[in-house]
Amino acid sequence: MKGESAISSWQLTVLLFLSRITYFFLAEPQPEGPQALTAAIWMPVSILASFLLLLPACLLMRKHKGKGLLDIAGERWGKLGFVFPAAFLLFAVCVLVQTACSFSYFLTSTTYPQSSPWLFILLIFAVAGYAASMGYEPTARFGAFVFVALAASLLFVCVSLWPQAQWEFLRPPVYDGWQSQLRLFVHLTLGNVEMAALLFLLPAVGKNKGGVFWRWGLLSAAVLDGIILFAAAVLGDYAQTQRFPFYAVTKIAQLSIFQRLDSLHTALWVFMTLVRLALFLEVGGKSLARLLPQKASRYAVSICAAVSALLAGCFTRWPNALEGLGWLFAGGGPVLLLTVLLPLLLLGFKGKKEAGR
Amino acid sequence: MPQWFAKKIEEKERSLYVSPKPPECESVRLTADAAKNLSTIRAALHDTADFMVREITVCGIPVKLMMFEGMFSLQTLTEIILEPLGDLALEDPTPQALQDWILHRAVLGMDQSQVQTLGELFPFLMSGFAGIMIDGIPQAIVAGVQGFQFRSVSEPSAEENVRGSREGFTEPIRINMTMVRRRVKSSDLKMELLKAGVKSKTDLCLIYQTDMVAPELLRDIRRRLREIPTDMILESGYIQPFLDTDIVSIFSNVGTTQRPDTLCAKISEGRVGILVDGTPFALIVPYFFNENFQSIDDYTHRPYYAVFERWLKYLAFFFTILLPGLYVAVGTFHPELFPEALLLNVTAAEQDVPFPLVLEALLIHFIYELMREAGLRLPRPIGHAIGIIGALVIGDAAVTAGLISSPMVMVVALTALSSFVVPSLFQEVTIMRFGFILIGGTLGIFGMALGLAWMIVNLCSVNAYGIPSMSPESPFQMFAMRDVLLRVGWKKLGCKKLKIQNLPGTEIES
Repeated sequence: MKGESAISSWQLTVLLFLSRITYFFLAEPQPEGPQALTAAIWMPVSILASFLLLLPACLLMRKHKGKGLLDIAGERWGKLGFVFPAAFLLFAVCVLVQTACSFSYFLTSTTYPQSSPWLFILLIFAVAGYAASMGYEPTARFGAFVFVALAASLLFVCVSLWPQAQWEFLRPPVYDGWQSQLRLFVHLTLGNVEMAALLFLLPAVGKNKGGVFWRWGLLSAAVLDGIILFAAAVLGDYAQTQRFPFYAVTKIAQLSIFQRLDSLHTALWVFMTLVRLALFLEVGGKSLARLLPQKASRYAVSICAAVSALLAGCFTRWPNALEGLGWLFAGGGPVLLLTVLLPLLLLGFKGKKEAGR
Repeated sequence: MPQWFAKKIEEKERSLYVSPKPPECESVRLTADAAKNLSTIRAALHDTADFMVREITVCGIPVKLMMFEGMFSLQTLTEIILEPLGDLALEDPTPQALQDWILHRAVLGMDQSQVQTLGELFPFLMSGFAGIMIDGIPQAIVAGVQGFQFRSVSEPSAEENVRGSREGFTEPIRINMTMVRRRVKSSDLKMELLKAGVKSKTDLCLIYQTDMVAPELLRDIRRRLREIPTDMILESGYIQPFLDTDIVSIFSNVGTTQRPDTLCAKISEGRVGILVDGTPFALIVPYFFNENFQSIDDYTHRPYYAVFERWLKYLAFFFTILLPGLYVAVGTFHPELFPEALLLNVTAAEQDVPFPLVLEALLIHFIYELMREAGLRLPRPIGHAIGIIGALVIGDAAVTAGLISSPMVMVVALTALSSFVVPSLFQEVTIMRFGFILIGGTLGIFGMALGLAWMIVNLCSVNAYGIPSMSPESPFQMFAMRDVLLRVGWKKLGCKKLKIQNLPGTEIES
């Protein structure tokens, strides 16, 4: 066997990109509408800021070549290193719950108003759990197909709606006060949960690890900028009344005999949500496997999927809790903790084991 | 609880089935007493009626000739065994001298061997060889005098083509081996004979190019073939599951072909071909998903037409699995997707049908599958009648009776037509079509998307012998795509050869 790594750097780039785009399609708050231009300007800046934030973790991983944060924590802190898998598990479950709830809300409010959100949550977790249990590779390979479908779909939307885009709808950034701009910047930088996934999955990549961040950052910034600006230019103030502005864009996109293709876009978002859920189930499952006894660790992904599905189903009944979860992520606390604070602590404090060595 | 359950199932299985065991007589060694050997052989064969023995004396030494009825050619036997032995006059007539003469000086055909046990002797006799037992020698000589009847080489019924060879594999393995050798006159082409099947002792032949195949792939295939526990191997389909990937997948990673030219093309890319005695279907290992959309005609047509054909096949595949489900899903949950004129037509047609769309689709597909299966198994003249009944019942009577709508007939017709475009995926496609109708009718587009995603993930999770089954689409490689979604001209395609172990994501060494 060649013993090659599980996925290539391009595959991880595509996975993270799809996950990031999915979040923008489904989750609140969305910067479409008046704030679009401000968001578009801050997007590349947030990539630079994210890079700076990831520096300590990258230094740590460079020092321990080929090892992930969980391995390094176990090595340096000994038994206390369980803090890392526990934190990543909690984080992944929260992301999974938020994504699944947003997705089920999207389906019940647009396409299936009379169906129970439980149905969508259970089914999508079943398929995502299957994908995650197969390892990184199948999800990454599936992601490549979804990427092509997304590109085709975005192209279709752009071509069909280009004549209707009115760029005067975009409000200059100066209209938004500095507090609003700062909030947006923090949201774009620290609300980027894929940063934690990147740190977690980076050891699975063989060559060109450094390229993953820049490729992913630039690609997602460019595409998100395009989507945000275009949606704002097409919808104008109407965007503010929409819970899912980009869905509203796809609803009005039509070209020749191709009309009302919003359901097909919904199908595409099912794929994208699956990729995101499978990605974070991998993170959660691998973290849980570290905490469980060896015999039970092979069921880690299934346990993680079952618990997340159960919690997501319950959260659909507790809108306040769900909103709180949204604010938690938008505030950037979890990402800051996992990508900056914990790696800094790991870098600074050696456990007894490491010190003895 | 699960252990108790497993134990109960095992007990039940044991009461119904027996594990195949090799016959005990196989290890019995031949002795110097030919008469005693003969009685042992007769007893081991339970005095079977088709076992023939001719006892002759050569230079005063008793010799026993053994054959199975109908398996040998009397003319060959006379020419290469009976006549030379009848005319023989040895200076020093001892059993050893007679054996040496037969082995080293007489020309008893090309296939000649010495055996020492019954286990070695029987497969030869049962393959049409003649056994020669000399009294005083604890061995037997076997000589190839095969003369059994077999189907002649004819056009492959399951893989017809527009241009190119009309030769298809036939049942005897040796003839199939010659068909491959005639096409690849290279010293790198290697054929390896193996036996499988505890009772049937079926001949298998591994065919590969030594300069192209990955040693690891070859080792793995040999190991899997050695470990096959089945007692009877009557067709290549019997060993296919043992060569398939361990992951539960809808699609197989072992391909089949009836065409020697297809097999040669596959082994030239580093794959391994397996011929099985008694069947015209050869196996190809490993076999990737995109290969189901390739045919020998693609390489004889002009490139632009070959590309068109490829795309047509991919489209037909998606049509045949998704169209009925999509029609049901859109009709039930998302009618706004239909253009206005079509929506009105569909609504008008469905108004008189008493069943919900999903039930109607299931019913008509079930009838279609019934007719297809009936037409397949019946003698050809009666099979045509099934087509007439189908056309009358489904095309006319069912619509007139208001049991099904005309758009649904159209959907079934299109689906059936598309399924014939990729015949190698017929089984998978049939089952998936029913699955997609069910989930389309119960969950709409969401269900269809989930089902499709599951199918793609399942396909992507398979690493056939360490090579991703979906390669080179995903993991993507531009160079290899020139014979997947495209088919570039021979001037480019023929210059450099693809080695499957070099595809992206591969875990085996080249």
